[in-house]
Amino acid sequence: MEYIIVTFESTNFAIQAESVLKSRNLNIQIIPTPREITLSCGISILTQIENLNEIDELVKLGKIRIKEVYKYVKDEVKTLERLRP
Amino acid sequence: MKRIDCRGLACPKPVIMTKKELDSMINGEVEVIVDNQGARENLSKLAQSYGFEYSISEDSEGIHVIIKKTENKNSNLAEDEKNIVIAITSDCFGHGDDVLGRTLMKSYIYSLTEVEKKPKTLIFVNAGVKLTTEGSDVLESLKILEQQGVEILSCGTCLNFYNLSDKLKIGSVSNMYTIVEKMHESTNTIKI
Repeated sequence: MEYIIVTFESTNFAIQAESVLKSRNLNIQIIPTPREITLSCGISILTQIENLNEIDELVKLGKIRIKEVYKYVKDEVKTLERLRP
Repeated sequence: MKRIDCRGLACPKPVIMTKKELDSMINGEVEVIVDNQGARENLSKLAQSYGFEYSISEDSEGIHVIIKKTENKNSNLAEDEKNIVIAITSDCFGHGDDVLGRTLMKSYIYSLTEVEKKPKTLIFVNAGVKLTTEGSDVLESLKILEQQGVEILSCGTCLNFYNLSDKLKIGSVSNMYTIVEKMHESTNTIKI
């Protein structure tokens, strides 16, 4: 399965983005930011890769503020690949 | 067989030396020679606390305590034999800000799906039952945990109190007797 992980500059931006994305009925999950991305105690959003366009759109409109987006493949071997910025 | 001569050594030296030796081996026998009844008693207690077989004999040399270490009788349970029960007593992780607390709880439950060593049982009590019922954001993670073999229990009294009895979406309803038993059977109960 292919997902994206969206990271944020602050926990508050993550919480705010969660509420914006949920109000648009996007299927998202709050997850701890994987250690491969940062060792600090961060919160990220996990969602299907199909939702990337809508997230880009929301960023452009200034509705959410994000830091990075990673493509996350969750097979036997998990891989992370930076997509944004 | 490893032999430790503890004659002339004061308490608790014989016990410490024996424990060190037992800890360093996977299985096998240790013979400890002591010269007083106190040391003999303490070594018996040590063997009992580990669940190891032991025998005692006396001759002109002194008191011989032979302790047999067997792998499966080790009271230090292997990691995968540990029975972890997690009692989730709120829909918030930690005290402070509730919005942050709810976010942390989602993050916590997602993490449980990713870690290798799973708890045996998750018990949801008080406002914790908001996590196992309709509208919860962690149902997907809980479903994965259930597939991974984790037992999920929600307190019936609590479901009733919050008017959520007909809204349970994952796991089964439990009562306080079962909750108490699960906690007592566990090697480690973690309260969140």
